[in-house]
Amino acid sequence: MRTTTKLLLASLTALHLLTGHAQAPARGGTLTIALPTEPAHLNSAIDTTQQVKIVAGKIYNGLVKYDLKMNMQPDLAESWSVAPDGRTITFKLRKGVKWHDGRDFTSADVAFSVMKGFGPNNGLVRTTFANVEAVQTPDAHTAVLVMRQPAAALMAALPVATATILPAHVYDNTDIRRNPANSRPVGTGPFMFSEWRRGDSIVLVRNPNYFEAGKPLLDRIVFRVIPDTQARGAAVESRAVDMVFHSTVAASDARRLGSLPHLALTTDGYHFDSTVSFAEFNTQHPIVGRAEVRRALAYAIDRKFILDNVWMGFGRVATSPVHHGLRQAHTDDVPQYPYDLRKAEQLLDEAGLKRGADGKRFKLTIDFVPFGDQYPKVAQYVRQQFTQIGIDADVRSTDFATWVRRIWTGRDWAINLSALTNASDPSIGIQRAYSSKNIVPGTPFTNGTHFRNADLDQYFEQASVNQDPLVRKRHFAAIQRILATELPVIPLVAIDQFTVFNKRVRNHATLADGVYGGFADVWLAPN
Amino acid sequence: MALLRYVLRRLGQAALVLGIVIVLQFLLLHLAPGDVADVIAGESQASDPAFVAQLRAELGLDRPLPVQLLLHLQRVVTLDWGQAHSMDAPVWQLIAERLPATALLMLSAIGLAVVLGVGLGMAAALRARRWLDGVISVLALLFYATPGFLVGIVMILVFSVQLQWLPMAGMSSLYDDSPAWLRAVDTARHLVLPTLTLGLFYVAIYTRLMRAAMLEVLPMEHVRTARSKGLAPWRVVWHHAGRNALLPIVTMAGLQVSSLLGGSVIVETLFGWPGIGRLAFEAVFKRDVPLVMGVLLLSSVLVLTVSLAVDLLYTRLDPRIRLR
Repeated sequence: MRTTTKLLLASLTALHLLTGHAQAPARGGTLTIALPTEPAHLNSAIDTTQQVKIVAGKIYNGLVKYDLKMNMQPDLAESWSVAPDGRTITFKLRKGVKWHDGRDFTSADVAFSVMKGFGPNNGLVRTTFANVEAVQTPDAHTAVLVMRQPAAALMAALPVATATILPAHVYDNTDIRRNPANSRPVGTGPFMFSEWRRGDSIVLVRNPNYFEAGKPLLDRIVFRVIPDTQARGAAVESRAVDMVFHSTVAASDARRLGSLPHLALTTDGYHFDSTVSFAEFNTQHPIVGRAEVRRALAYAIDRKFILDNVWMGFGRVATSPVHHGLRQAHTDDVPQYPYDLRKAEQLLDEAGLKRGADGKRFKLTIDFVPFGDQYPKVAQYVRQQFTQIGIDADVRSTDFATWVRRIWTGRDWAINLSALTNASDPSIGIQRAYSSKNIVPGTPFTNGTHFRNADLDQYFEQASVNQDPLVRKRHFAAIQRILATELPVIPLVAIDQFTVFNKRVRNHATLADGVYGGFADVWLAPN
Repeated sequence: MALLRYVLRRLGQAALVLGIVIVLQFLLLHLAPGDVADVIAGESQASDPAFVAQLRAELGLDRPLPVQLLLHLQRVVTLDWGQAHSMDAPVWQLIAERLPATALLMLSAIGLAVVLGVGLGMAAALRARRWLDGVISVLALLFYATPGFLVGIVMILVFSVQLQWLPMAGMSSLYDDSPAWLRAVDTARHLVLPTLTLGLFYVAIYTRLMRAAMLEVLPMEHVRTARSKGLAPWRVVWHHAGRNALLPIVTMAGLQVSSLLGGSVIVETLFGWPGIGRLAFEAVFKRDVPLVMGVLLLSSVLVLTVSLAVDLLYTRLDPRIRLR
């Protein structure tokens, strides 16, 4: 309770700072942001890694953006209209927008980006745009998306982070993955690429011709690569950097940092992140392939303990793989599995898996995604809980490539601890993991549990093409009930990402894109 | 002539060793399951098999392993190290960009270690079993026993967070058109903490080595003779004792080039130093075979070169040693 209150207070302070009350925005200055790893390149149309999106989001634009209440706001598109049958979407584009190299931005850039840019190349949203048949360009400032069938999640996928509009004159008829502009990007955004000191920093400077008059306010943004968690904390504390994004200081240290006089802590700016951590099962496994065993195991895990001790309270106990932040889809009205070891033992007995003479019921292996320091901790906790109910569990630790091979190709696993982003919509983020049509051995982040349920598939299909938000919400509720009953996955924690920032940084989380947005409104208060 | 023949023979041996090392490295990297396509597709959460297949074909990972090995050897011989898979640049360019930073860090760490280690070791030997020797020995033990990451964190907390004297991240803080001297000063300030963190361990080693070597040399007859000739004490210590005592230091410094490369991974990670150690670490984690192979090739060449240089240096320090 005490931590919740503290977090609330911290958030209120942060909110006050974010909205930048009582001070007129100042122009100028250099904002320094810590990056945990260096991006491979800066083309967010072909890559969805955070580091790429955080930098590229300041250089490029999308067609639209979303405010904190998830209302659409103009970005490169001034207005838009969806035909009643949902098969055409018309975007009226902003006039007078220039690329950083001085060329005019036109509808040809939109057509190129959808058909040859992020459309086929962005791993996360390519299925969302797969139904787009063509992009018509009746004039230089109108782009019409024509679709084979409606794509309900498409509008939510249009911000810069997932649907980056690239310059056709730079990319068309080139190998998009090898284009030199991936490292020296030419965008339309508020900041222009200036310099990349490999392994050290990336520097962006103000775009003097940005289409929003008087913006951006900052002179320069410097992204500094600081790979060590402790060092990032020390960097923001010593004012070497102004912001540390995406929970990349130790969660155990975040509140102390946030309470320092010159720093603050916020969980705003991650609306499109919506990550839920979970324990998922190989449904072909002889033991955990049985739903009654999975339900028994769910009772043995105290998710509140994991939230408080591994994620240090940053998040919420999850009851569904759909993040509570996606209000258009989330429901809590699903079967619940409150922590109850006795019940877990009773269900295992009923499933015929009684303790043997040595007190053991069966053996299991636990795998975990090798990113961050949370998952090994969760694995150790789950192992300990399983031991208490007579399961002889073994934790395996590997590198990323081996883990990917084991889960999606080798399939010699039982329980896997990992997390998945819902992105902006379950049709983008969740369908890929549980629809039986997406069982694709050898391909990471497809349906790795090999869970099959005809009803579930049908609800997913309908939700992905239906335009009515209420109908979609009903479909998603049905999906969540099936998942919570059959339990191919035990949701653990819906994670709240956090930012630790210097209080002089104002206005950095005014959009749902948050950290991935353009930062045109961000300014630095004088010290 | 003998020297030339010796160098040529050693170069021949080095080329053979290098060839074996390259093949072994390649096979070792391919022993583990998974490849860079898994990493790229996984990181971008791509759930489309066509995408992964396309990626694998683009990167040449769909070919049989022996073919990949032959292609790799061909590239090594023709000095075309290929494109890094996980970063958008050619391997040689990534290495060339990072090498100066690591070279600067290694040279300053070795410089610190040799100068401070030799100095402290000599001082301790000349004042053996007195209080100064005691203080130096305790310091050396402390430097030796404290792990690098801990030294680094303590340095950051003391000098960057509390005192705010020195920068703690990266190689430079200047992004405008500052004059060259200002940039040099800025880089030097950034270099202090990483150098101390990397170098203090070696200071300890050299101090102990130098002390032991000096204690061995000082009672020798040529030193006594030099003293009895009435030479100035510093000349005796430096020319007659010190030069002999330096042999183990040179051997050690040569051996430590490779371990310094390893140690620089931690220091470069901690201080965000844009060097080759971190590049190698990231490349291994991302299964970026061309990049890993490039860095390993470079470090193999470096180790072989340094060991040859050390052998040649021996003859200068001690004329009694002959090359064969």
